[in-house]
Amino acid sequence: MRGYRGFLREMLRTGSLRALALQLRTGALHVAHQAFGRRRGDPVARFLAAYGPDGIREPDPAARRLARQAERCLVCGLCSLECARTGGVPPLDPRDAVIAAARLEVDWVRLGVSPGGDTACGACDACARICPAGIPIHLVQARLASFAASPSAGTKADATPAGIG
Amino acid sequence: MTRLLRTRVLVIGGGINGTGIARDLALRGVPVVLAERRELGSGTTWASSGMIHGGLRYLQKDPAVTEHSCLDSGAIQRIAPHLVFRIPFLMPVFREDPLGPELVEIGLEMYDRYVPLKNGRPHTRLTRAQALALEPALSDRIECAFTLDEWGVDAARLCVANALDAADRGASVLTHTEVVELLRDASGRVTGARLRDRLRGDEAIVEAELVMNAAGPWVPQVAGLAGEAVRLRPGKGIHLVFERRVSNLAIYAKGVDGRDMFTFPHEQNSMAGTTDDDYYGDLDRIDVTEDEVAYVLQAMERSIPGIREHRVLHAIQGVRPTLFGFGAYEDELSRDYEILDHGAAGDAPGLWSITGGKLAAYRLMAEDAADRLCAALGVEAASRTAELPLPGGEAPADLPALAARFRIGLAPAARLAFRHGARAQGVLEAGEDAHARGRRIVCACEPVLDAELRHVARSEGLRRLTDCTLRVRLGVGACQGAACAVGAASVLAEELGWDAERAVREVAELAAARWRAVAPVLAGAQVAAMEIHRHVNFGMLGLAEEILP
Amino acid sequence: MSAVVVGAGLAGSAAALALAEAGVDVAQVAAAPGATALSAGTLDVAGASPGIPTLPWRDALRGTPLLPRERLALHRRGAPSHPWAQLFGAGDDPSQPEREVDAGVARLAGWLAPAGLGLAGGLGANRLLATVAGTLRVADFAFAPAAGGDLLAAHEIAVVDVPPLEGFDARALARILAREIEVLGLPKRPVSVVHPKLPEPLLAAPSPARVAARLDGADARTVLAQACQGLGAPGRLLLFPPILGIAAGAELVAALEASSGGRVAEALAFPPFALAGFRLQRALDAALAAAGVRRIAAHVRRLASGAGARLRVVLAEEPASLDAEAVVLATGRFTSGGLGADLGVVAEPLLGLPLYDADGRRIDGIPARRSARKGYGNEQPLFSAGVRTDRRLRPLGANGRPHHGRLFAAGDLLGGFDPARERTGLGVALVTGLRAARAVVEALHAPPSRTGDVP
Repeated sequence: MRGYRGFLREMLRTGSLRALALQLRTGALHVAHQAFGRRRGDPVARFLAAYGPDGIREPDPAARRLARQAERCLVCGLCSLECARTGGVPPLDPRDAVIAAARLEVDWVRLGVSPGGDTACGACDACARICPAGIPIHLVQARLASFAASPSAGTKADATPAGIG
Repeated sequence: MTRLLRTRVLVIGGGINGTGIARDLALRGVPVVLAERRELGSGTTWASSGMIHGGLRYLQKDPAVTEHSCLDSGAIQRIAPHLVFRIPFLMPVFREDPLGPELVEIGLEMYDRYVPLKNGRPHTRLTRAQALALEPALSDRIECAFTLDEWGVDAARLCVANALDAADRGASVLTHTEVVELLRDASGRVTGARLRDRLRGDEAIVEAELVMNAAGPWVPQVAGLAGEAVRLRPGKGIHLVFERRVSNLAIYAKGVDGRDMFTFPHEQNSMAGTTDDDYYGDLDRIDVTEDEVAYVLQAMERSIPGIREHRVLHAIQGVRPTLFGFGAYEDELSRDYEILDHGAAGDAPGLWSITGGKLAAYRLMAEDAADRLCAALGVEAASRTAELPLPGGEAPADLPALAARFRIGLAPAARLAFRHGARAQGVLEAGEDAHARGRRIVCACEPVLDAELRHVARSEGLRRLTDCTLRVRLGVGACQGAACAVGAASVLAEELGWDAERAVREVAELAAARWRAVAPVLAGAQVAAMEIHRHVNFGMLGLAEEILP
Repeated sequence: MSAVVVGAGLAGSAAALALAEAGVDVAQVAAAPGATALSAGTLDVAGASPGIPTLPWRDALRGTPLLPRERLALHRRGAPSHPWAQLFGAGDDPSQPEREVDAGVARLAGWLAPAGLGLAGGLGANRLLATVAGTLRVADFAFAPAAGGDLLAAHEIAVVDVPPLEGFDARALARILAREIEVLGLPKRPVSVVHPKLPEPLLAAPSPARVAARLDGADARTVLAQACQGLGAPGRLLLFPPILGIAAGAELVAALEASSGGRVAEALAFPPFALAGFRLQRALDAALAAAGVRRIAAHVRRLASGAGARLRVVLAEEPASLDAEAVVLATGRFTSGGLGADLGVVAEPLLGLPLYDADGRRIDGIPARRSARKGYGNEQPLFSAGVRTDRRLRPLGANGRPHHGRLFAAGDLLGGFDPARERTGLGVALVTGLRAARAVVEALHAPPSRTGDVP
C-alpha cells in the first residue's frame, strides 16, 4: 500500500483515535473485498447510468472540438446580421447557437429547432464565414439540432449538448 | 432626522452566516435588523466554490466534522432543492502522489458511509482506460482514478434566500448600510449601533438587546468598534472562471506544493481553484496576483493537460474568516467555528461574534448562534431552519409549463427556476406587461429576463447594478456586460427611480468592476472581448470621466 | 502580384481601392471582418485630445467649442507616438492634414456611393449624434442614416419606440439624452418618445437584425412609412433604433421623411447590434468587387521572403501562398487578430513585429495580464499598442529599422493611439490606408532596393 507509512505518521500526528479506528476497520474490509475479487460490472457504464439524469453523458469528441471553438465568441453580433441578410428565418439567430452551446438548457424555440430535430437553419455557413473568431457556427447549430433528435432530448440530459459531451 | 429602529437583535454582516442567523431568529419570532455594508453575500460567500461538500478531508482528523457536514448538506438540499445540483468528482491518482490507490480508496470507502446522509452516491474505481473514456481531457499519465459525489450550490442565492425569508418574517434587511459606531450604555454594555446608508447618506440608530457580529473577515474590525480584539487567520482564496464547462465532472488537481484543488462545474461555467494564503491586505480591495493565477493553472495542467487552451473570463477572490491557529500551514487550519460572547469573554456584554466555519455548515452555525442568543434573550422557541423550506424551495418549478405559459424559452426559464424555484412563476407574472417587455432577454449570456431584473429590484431589495452580478449573474459572461449593462441599467432605473445621471454612473461602476475581475487573468480571446468592452464603454457611452480608477 | 493587402477593414480596403485606381495589380486577403464591421456609423479623425482626460465633446461644447480641425491640431502636437504626429509632424503645413482628410473622405464617399452608402460631415463644424444609450458623441463625419441625426441641427428630438426590440429602450434613451443635452449646456430641446402603430408581422422577432432585413423589402418599407405618418415636423428629428435596412440606400430614409414630415436618422449602435459597421463593410466589399480587386478569403499564417526581394504571404487555405512586390498589413488589433494573446502572451502573429504602446513601451512577449493596469479608466498599454513605423508607414523591427523595404502597415495595427478612448479608429484607417497605398506606388516605381533598406 503505497504511502501507508507516511499516512500513518500523519494520522498519528493530527488524527483522532476514532478516525484511526474507522480507518483500520475500513481498511480491513477493503483488503478482504480485494482478496475475494468482488465484481460489480463496468464502472463507466454504471457511472453514466447513475448520473444520466443529472446531465452527464458519454464524452463526444466532435462536440468538444466545437465547444473549444465556440469559446472564442466575442458577442459581436455579425453572425446575426449576416444570417438576417442572407434570408435566415426568424427566430433563428446564430448568436443563440453559440451561446446555447455553453448553456445547461437549450432554448429550442429560439434556435429554430423542432422537437424532432428539424432545424430552420439552412446550413449555408454564411455565419461561419463572417465570424471574426472563426467559429463554425452552422456546425454548432447542427450539433445542437441533433441533440433535439436524440433519445435523451427533453430530459435533464440535454445539459450542455454542444458544450461538453 | 435620524431614524430610530428598535429591535431585539442587530445582526452585522449579510453573508451566509449573517443571513442564516437572521433567518433562524426571525423564524423563532425574534425581531431582527440586519445591516450589510455592501451587497448580500458580496464578501466571502460570493468567493466560495459553492460546494456544500461533505468534508472528505476531515475524515482523517475528525469524523464528527464529516458527519455533521454531510447531515447538514442533506438539510440544505431539503430546504433549497432548487439551488443545489449534483457534482460528480473525478479524483485521478498519479504514481508520484503521496497516497497510493488503495489508501485513497479506503478513504473513499470510509466516506461512503456518510454519503447517504447527503443523498450522495458511493464512489467508483476506474482504471486508467476507463477514466480516460469517461473524461478524455484527463492526463494520460494517471495511474487510475476514482469518482465521488458532492453537491454544489449557488451561494449568493442561498444567502439571498435566507435574507428574504427573514424579511418575510418581519426582519429588516438593510444593504449598503454600514455600522459607524457601536452604542454603549453607562455600564459598557453594547446597546445597538449607529448605521449609515452608504447610498443615501442618511443615518439610523438601532437599539438592540444583542448585537451579533457576523461580518466574516471583517469581524475583528467590527469587534474593534467595541474595543474587543478577535483574532483570525484570514485566508485568501481565488478561483478562475472559464467561459464554459471544461467538464461536467469536477476534476481534482494538486498544486505544486501538494494542495488539493479542482476544476469544477459552477453555474454554467467551470471554475478552477482554490488557493489559501494568509492575507494581511485591504479586505475591500483584494487583488489577484500573477503568482496565484500561474499556481492554479499549473496545478490544473497536471490533471487536465489542455487546460491552458480554455478561455478564462475572470477571477473571483475572497478571504476566509479562518480561526486563528499559530504555526500551521493554511491548509491545516481548523475549519471549525467559534461563537464568542464578548460579555463573558471580554468587556463588551451584549456583543457576540461568530468566526470560522465553512459554507456547508452555515445552517448549523446559525442554529447554534441563534440558540445561544435566544438563551440570552430568554426566548424558548427552537430552530426551524432545517424543516421549513427557503423561499423558492417549496416545490419544484414546472419548466415546460413556465416556458409555454409565458412564452419564454427553456433556457431563461431554467435559469429563472434555478434562482427562484417555486417563485419563478410569480416573477414572470409580475413582469408581464402590454408590450411583452418582461419576456425580453436583457443579458443573453446567462440569460436574464427583463422580468427577473424588475423582480429583484421590486421584491428583493436590490439597489445597485453591480449587485446584479451576484443576484442574477448579469455581466459575467463572454461580453462582461458590454452588450447588456445599458439595458439592465434602464430597467433598474425605471424600477428604482434612478435619474439619467445615476443610470450612467451605475453602468460605469459595473464596467470598472468587470475590468477589475478580468485584468488579472487577461489572455486570449478575452483580450479581444475587452477591446470591444472598451469600445462600448469609452467610445460609445463616453464613460471616461465617470470611471473610478 | 504587385501588391497584397492583408485585411478587409477600412484601412485595407482604402489601400486596395487606391492601389487599384493607381493601376497596381492588387489582391486583398482576409478571412473575416474586424473592427470596421463593428463600427458605430461615424468616422472621426480628431477624437479626444491626448493628455486631456475629458471627452472631446465636453471640451468642444462646454465653454470654448473646439472645432474638429482644432482638435486634430492638438493631436498632432500632443502625442509623439500618435499616427497623426508621425504622418503630419510638427513642422509641416498646418492645413495639410485637413486637406488630406477632406480629400480622403471625398474619395471614400465616391467609392461607397454606388452601394448607396452616404457619408457626410466636415472638419469645420461640430455635429452631435446620439447613441442607442442616449449618450452623445461628436462626429467629424458620419455615414447615412446616422448622419442625419445631428442634434445641433434639430429643435426637438422624438425617439421612435419599437418594442420589444432587443438592445433598445426608447424611454431610457430619451431620459439620458435629455440629461446629456443639459449637462453640455446646450439650448434646451424637447426630447420625447413616439409610438408608431406597427403591425405584428414587422416585428416577428425582437432581433434588430431581423427587423432591418425585413425593412429592405419594399412592402415593409411602405408599412413603416405609413405607421410613421405625421410623426415628424420641421426641425424635429426622428431617432430610430438600428433597424433602417441592412442594405445601404437612401430609399427607406427618404420614404420615412416624406411620410413623417421630419428628419429621420438612426442612433449610433454598438455590438451586438452594430448595423452601421455591417453596412460599411458590405459597401466596401462591393466597391472592391467593382474595382476588380481580387479577393481571397483565407487566413494568413505568416509572412516570409519570396523570390528576389518579394514578400511571400503564406496562407492557411488555397492558394497556399502569394508572392508580392509589396504588402500592406491592415490586420487591426485583437478583435480581428492583427494582435494576438494566445496563452496570454501578446504578439503580432504574422511577423512577430515588436509592439509599442502610446508611451513607447514595448508590450509584445509579455503576458497580457501583466500589461493590464488597475483601474478601468487608466491608460491601458494593451489597448494603445501596435506596430511602430517610419514616416512611410513601414513597420519597424526591434532594431528600429523597417522590417522590409516594401512592407507597410495601416489602420489599427499602428500603435500609439487608443481607438476606444479617442474614437479615431476609422479616421486613422482611412488616412493611413491611403497613405500606405501612396507609399506602395512610390516604392514600386522607385529603383530596386535591398530588404530592410532605410531611406
